[in-house]
Amino acid sequence: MVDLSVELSEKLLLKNPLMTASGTFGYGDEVTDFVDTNLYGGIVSKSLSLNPRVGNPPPRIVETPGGMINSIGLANIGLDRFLEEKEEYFHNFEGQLIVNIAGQEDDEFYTILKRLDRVNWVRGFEINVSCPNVKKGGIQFGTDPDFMFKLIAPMRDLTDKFLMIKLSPNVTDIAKMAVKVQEAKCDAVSMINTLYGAAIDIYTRKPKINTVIGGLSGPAVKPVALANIIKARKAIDIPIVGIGGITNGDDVIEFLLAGASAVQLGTVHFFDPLAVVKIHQFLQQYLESQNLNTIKELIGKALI
Amino acid sequence: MKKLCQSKILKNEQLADQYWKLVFDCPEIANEALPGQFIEVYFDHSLKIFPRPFSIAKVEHDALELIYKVIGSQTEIMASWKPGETVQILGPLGNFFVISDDTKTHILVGGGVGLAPMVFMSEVLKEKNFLFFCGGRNGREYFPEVHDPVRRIISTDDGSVGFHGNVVQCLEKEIAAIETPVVIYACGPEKMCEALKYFGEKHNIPVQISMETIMACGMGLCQGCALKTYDENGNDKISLVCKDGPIFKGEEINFG
Repeated sequence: MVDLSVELSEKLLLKNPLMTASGTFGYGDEVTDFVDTNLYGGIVSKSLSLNPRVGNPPPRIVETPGGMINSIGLANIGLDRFLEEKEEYFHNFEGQLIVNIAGQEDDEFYTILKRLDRVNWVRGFEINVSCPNVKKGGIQFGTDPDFMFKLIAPMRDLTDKFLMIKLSPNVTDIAKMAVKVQEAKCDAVSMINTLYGAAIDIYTRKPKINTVIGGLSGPAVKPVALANIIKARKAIDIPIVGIGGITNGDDVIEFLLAGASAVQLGTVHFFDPLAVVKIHQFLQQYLESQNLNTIKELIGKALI
Repeated sequence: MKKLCQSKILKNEQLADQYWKLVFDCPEIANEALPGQFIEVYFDHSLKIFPRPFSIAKVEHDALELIYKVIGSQTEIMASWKPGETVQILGPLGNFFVISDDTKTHILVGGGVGLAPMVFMSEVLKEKNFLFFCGGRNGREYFPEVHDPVRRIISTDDGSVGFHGNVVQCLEKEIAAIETPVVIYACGPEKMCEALKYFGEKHNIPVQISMETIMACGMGLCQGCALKTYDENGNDKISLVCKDGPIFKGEEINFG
């Protein structure tokens, strides 16, 4: 039996490196009809704000070559309903729940963090400083290293739980951002959030996304994600959770070799809901075929 | 409860110009499906990654039937599928048309390929009093058979078959003679659905409309299939076509 477990910090042991990317898996309870969600080492919730958000008007998504552009605008049920409605499901979930937090200003982040710090079924946080689709908050926190540091530095004093910052690729140097996350004593970085993307209808001449520019995701962005992970890996010592266009088991191994300690599956949930089952099987077979006992042996082992 | 199935194709045949019928052997979905619900059809993903949603056009025992129109690369792929091949489908998804016993006349309105869920309705309402208004651009479009031909009223934009005009104009001409209370169930082009919403308001007839948007996951994960709607107090709201719909009351929909 091979060991798929990975450690993202002393506080967060995952039974396997597969997590869900925020906003691609609801709150985890939508697919239980046909997928055993316990196959995930961790679920990252949809971005949560203090109050419910209706999100952006349509059109919110468009299919693009090997991917999609979205502009959902962090539609979510808000903190109170989350605590009320999702407790039972996550009590029974055998993996780790990471709550993704998206505030519009510093205080909103801190308030949510303080309240969820006391909730025992929440095992950690992913801070969204990189959503390209909201006017206030979102990516502005995630593109200026000092601005981001000012936001995240106080968070360490608010929680001892696992704390991870999700980085945007829409910056000149992602390594500089990653270094700031380490300086702020956070436990990990996750990368990448979506890339800026746009599409125009040639007959109506209108943008195909309500906000004109949205976030590109899917298989098309995988090489961009890998390049960013390789850059960040050289700059920091804390773990990286890799995100970006992962579709199958080969992709997961590639991300681990590039230096990610765990990965998040995102857009693949929309076109292959059973991906997690297939990837799980592949990882076991791959390790056996490579005569490896534990998947940890692969992390950062690309010959670069 | 929705099921993800590897389903064998029983039939895939051309019905008319661009219209095709695809039948799956899929007891898991067929035995639970209600009219108005839809399924997602998955493709070998490469450049295009999304599955595609299709209204269920009929169920018969374990067979699940779709009617689709070949209009793009994915429906062209579908037209090449042969009986015996296996395709992944997910369903039944979404809500369904609500049928009340108080209704004296059920009016089904289908425009273009929007007639697919209405075929399912016409089967379910077989023992009840219904009229099926089928609208198309011209006589080369597909107009489904119904067991009692007098219940099928065809209109075409060019007048080559049936009433000369659109399906809403045709309904306007017939409505006075129809026994009340009446409910309209509709699926078709957005302009048709919008006109039916106002037709319903004018004649004080409830309208249930099946709406279409670009859709990715089909089950509420991506929140992409947003539709502008109103809540019960008339305030602006955003609904998801996959989970809150695809069927909405006319008064709920904000056609903008």
